[in-house]
Amino acid sequence: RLGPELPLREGEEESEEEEGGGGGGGGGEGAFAKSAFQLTAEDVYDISYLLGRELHALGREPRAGLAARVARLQFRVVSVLEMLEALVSEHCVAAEALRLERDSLRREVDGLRAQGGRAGS
Amino acid sequence: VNIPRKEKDFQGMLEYKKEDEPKLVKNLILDLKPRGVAVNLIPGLPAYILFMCVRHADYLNDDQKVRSLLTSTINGIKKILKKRGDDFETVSFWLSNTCRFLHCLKQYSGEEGFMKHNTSRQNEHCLTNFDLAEYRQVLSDLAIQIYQQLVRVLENILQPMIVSGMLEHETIQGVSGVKPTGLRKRTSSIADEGTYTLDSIIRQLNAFHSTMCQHGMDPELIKQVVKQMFYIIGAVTLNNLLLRKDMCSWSKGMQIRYNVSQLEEWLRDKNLMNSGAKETLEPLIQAAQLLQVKKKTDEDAEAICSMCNSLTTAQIVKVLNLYTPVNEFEERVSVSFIRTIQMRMRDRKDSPQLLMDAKHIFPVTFPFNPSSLALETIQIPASLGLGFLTRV
Repeated sequence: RLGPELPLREGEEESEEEEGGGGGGGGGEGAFAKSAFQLTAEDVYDISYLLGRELHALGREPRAGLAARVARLQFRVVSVLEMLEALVSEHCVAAEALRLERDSLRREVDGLRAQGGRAGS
Repeated sequence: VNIPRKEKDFQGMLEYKKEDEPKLVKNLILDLKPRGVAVNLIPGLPAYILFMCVRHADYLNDDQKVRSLLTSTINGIKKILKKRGDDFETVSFWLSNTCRFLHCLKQYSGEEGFMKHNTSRQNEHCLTNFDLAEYRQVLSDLAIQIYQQLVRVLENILQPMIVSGMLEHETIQGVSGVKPTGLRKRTSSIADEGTYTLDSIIRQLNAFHSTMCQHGMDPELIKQVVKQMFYIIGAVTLNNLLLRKDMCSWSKGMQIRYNVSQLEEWLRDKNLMNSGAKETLEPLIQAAQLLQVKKKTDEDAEAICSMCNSLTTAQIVKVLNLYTPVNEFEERVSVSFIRTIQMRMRDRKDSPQLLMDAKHIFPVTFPFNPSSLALETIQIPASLGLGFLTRV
């Protein structure tokens, strides 16, 4: 019939549930445990907050020159997270578009099958 | 051959063309999401960027540019709060950033009183040409206004949960004498079959607290918000107790004390025991105790009078009048007992007030909270869309 299921799809559906239930606020530690394909932009913001706190603590160490290096690292991390955010958002949009396309094709197939069945009998 | 480029030494200022000022306000204030990669990683970033722009205008000795930027900033914040003022996240975000901007104006004012915790590099970053004390006053008034808005927003969210979660929902089984409400669900959800529970309230408190932390709100300010939230919970609960006969029983007293202990546990968990929040629950705690103590002999009356020092005579008498026994072990409070209490309380000059003012807002303060952040290290993240700013 439809061929093997892509593992991606199941993950996708789970992440939707996650978004609806837990979304917003929260500690954010959970985001690190997630599969990359289940990440939402909200998770990226939580990760951002946690990393920011750790970098901030590190930047307060009294070692000479450390603060400046931590600050440079901090803005590298911002850039990386901005990329991650863009990828995650883009991925969600692309997956949603593909899902809509698939559903409409499936409806079309079902419709044609029903018609074919009627014509055959 | 790769020649390593020596990194330019920045002075921690940001330059922009005058005609870009509306774009700056639009991208940094009006269109900025309170949750995002850059602002989550570096809480207060918009305030630091604004201050670095002020520094460059000060450095140019351009009083017109300074005035224009500060006016646009304040108007921008007012505008976004008018538009999205019912959203807790937005209001919390701009309260935090307005305070941070105010702290920056103090920390780098050049006034000695504000320079105690500065590094020598930070001291080099002080404003040199203009005294912005008058603008600090305007910003401080703005922050007060935003704080009051924040309290109104969280009050609107908490209000519908309080009576249901603190009084009506049964958290302890088998003491009420009323029919048991079935098995308690292990998993807590905001609305338990459509009604709010104590868990809903705690979850809401968690959400408020974590948002404020993520915005880098001053710890002293978070304490004041939490105290205000607890006051609202206590006042609304007590007022309902004083208005409803079915809420004045021994078992409701038990229920309230249990709920209060959970709220205290939350404070302990969040390290907020010194916020003054617990103290605002005192009238409610005493009313709950009043529901539970013996109410017969002269000694009982004396004990009540010395215990209930946070309740007015009117409130004590009201609770005793409403008191309704729910099972065979309890008795009605006699008229003579209530008269004894009134006699004893006669020379206590307290207000005839019955209901608490649930809309009362404690006056807020913004203690100076300097930052260790080094302005010369700040870069402008691409996601803010501020490519037209130049680091100086």
